[in-house]
Amino acid sequence: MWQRFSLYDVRVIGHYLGVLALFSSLALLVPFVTALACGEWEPASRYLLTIGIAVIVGSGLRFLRIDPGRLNRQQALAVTGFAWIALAFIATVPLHLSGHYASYLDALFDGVSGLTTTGASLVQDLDHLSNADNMWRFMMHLLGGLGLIVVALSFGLFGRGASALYASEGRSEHVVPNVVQTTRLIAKIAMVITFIATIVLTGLCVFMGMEPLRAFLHALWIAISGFMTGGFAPMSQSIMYYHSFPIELLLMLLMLLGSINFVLHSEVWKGRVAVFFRDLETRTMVLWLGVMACVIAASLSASAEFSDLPAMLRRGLFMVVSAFSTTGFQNITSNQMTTVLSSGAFLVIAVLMAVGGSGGSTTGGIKFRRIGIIMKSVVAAIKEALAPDSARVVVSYNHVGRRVLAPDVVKEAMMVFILYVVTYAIGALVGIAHGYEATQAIFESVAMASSGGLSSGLISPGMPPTLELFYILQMWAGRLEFVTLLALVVEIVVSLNPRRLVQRS
Amino acid sequence: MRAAYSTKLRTSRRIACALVALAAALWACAPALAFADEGPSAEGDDGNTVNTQQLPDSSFIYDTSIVDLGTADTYYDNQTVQVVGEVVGDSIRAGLSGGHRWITLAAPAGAATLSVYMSSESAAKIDTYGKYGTTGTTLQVRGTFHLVCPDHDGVSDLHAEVVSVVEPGSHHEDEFEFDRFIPGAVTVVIGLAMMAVFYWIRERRR
Repeated sequence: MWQRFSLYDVRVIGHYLGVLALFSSLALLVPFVTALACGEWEPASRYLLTIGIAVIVGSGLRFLRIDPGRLNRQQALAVTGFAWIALAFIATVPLHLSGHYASYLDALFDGVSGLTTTGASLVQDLDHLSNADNMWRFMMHLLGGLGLIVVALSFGLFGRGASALYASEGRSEHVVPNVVQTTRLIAKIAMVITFIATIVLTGLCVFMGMEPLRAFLHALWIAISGFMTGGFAPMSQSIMYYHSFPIELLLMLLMLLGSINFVLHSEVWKGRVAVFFRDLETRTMVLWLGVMACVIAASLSASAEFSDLPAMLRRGLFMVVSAFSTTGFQNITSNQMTTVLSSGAFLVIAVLMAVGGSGGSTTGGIKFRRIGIIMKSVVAAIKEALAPDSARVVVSYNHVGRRVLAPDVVKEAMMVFILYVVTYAIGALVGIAHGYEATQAIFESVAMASSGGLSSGLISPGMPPTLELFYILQMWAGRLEFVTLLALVVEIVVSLNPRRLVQRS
Repeated sequence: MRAAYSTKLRTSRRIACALVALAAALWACAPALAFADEGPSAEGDDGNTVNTQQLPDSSFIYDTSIVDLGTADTYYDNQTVQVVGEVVGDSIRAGLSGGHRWITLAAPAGAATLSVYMSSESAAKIDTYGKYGTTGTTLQVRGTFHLVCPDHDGVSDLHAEVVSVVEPGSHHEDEFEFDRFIPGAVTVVIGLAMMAVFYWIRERRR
């Protein structure tokens, strides 16, 4: 029997969504203060208005249940699912009012893209966007990269039901036993890495001739975007704007760090470096990247333009790291991707985005852990086929200690893998149905669902609204890794059907 | 039959005469038409008139737009092109020598941008860089477009040869207007009041 929401559930969910809306008003203070500091009065007024709206909406929702009690698993799932879209609606308000978007839907696309760390953008005239608006775009990356719930938990916003919320956001591993402490450690690791990267990048930007304030802001923004594997950039030319190999090198390092499981980060911080190198995800990553780098190098060397080694290393390697980490930074133009890269190289980039980085990191996509587990299950199947009938085949893998490959782990990996592949395929068909080239439609669909964010040019102001809506849905579903979203949709449908007999557990 | 033939012949001759007269008139007016819309000009050292705003008139220079170059195929590769656009962002150092800079040119409304590699002397002509509240200098740049530049590790760029300022930049700073903040202040006050009521009700229940 399907579960359904009671009125009590709706009130509790509303209360906690209100808490998150209030929390978003705190996050909005950052661009508001930036606007005041930079003398950007018009953006400051927009952010003040949005803070007011967030406080009204948040306070209003909290009235639904004055004393909400502990969140159960279903309620936590609904809070997480709705939080991503509800906060995107609030986040969109100042962006839409900026006048840099053709429609509210375009601004919503950027809001969802920012929070899900996809990084695709429909902003117009980005090079004239205010510092406050840019700060808000990268704040969205910061919140979304760490996870809205993780950030909220690290602030201690949910006293009870924290564990259920944490698990519903696609995270199940605890760095330390306590959930709130885990979220705080994740936030601390992210802040330290971003801080160090910002300092180094500021120095590089100043050396290149940028004004100190602009250098600092650009450094902060691209450091956040790089480590959170977001993909937004403060200039329309993305990372190509800086024409700096050291910056590209540092960003590659940041993207790599961002695509490593936070659990492994903490192990390395504790000095257990061997755990990192023995890990299933690390080994899958090395193998996968090695193979794909060779394939893309072979493909690029076949083309006349990128066949020389410096160009291949600088452009090709950066795009490989950007794609597999699902960041979406570009150091070649979208035009070069479609006109200069061979279709093979183009599709390799799409495949890299489709697989993504490590589980429990800031990346999207299927994740190395699942690919590794599926490969291990293939090994197990072969071993079972070759073993005597009486033998019991045990396959193990390393992930923060030795673990036995259990059927439920394989089932979860296979299910999420299939859901991703189906979503990529449906998205491609939707793109084709809108009249676009098949390769571009596949590329964009993968970029949206995996939160890769690279675009071959389909995503631009004036794109069909139906396709835009579908891509928003893909970004949302991909970030929540489908299960939370599907369960939420089923529960809503069942709740709206009064004839269905439902048995509450 | 003969009368009809001579009528046709006369008509043909008249048409031919009219065409010759029209051609002669156009030929006579051609210089005036050609220079009718010329911009500012200057007398060169050799006595020739130099028009700094002259649009390309030779077959190897393609007067194009930044948007076109943003979607360019191999046809444009290594061609001499001329574009007009607003300078945005910063002057980025190119290499360690300091002899060249990277400048970003933007099409109107930021529809497309182009990386331009130019000498520091050319970059010195730029008085303003476009950003929020600032419109950058509008430049006309003539140079060689590279779809994949062999000198710069495959970046898509324009190597500037001739750079001229079409229009200087301008600042339009945000003025502080109290009225703008009233809707925000009102919503914040309402929101805070609602929050206070919430906590009051919750405390009363306890």
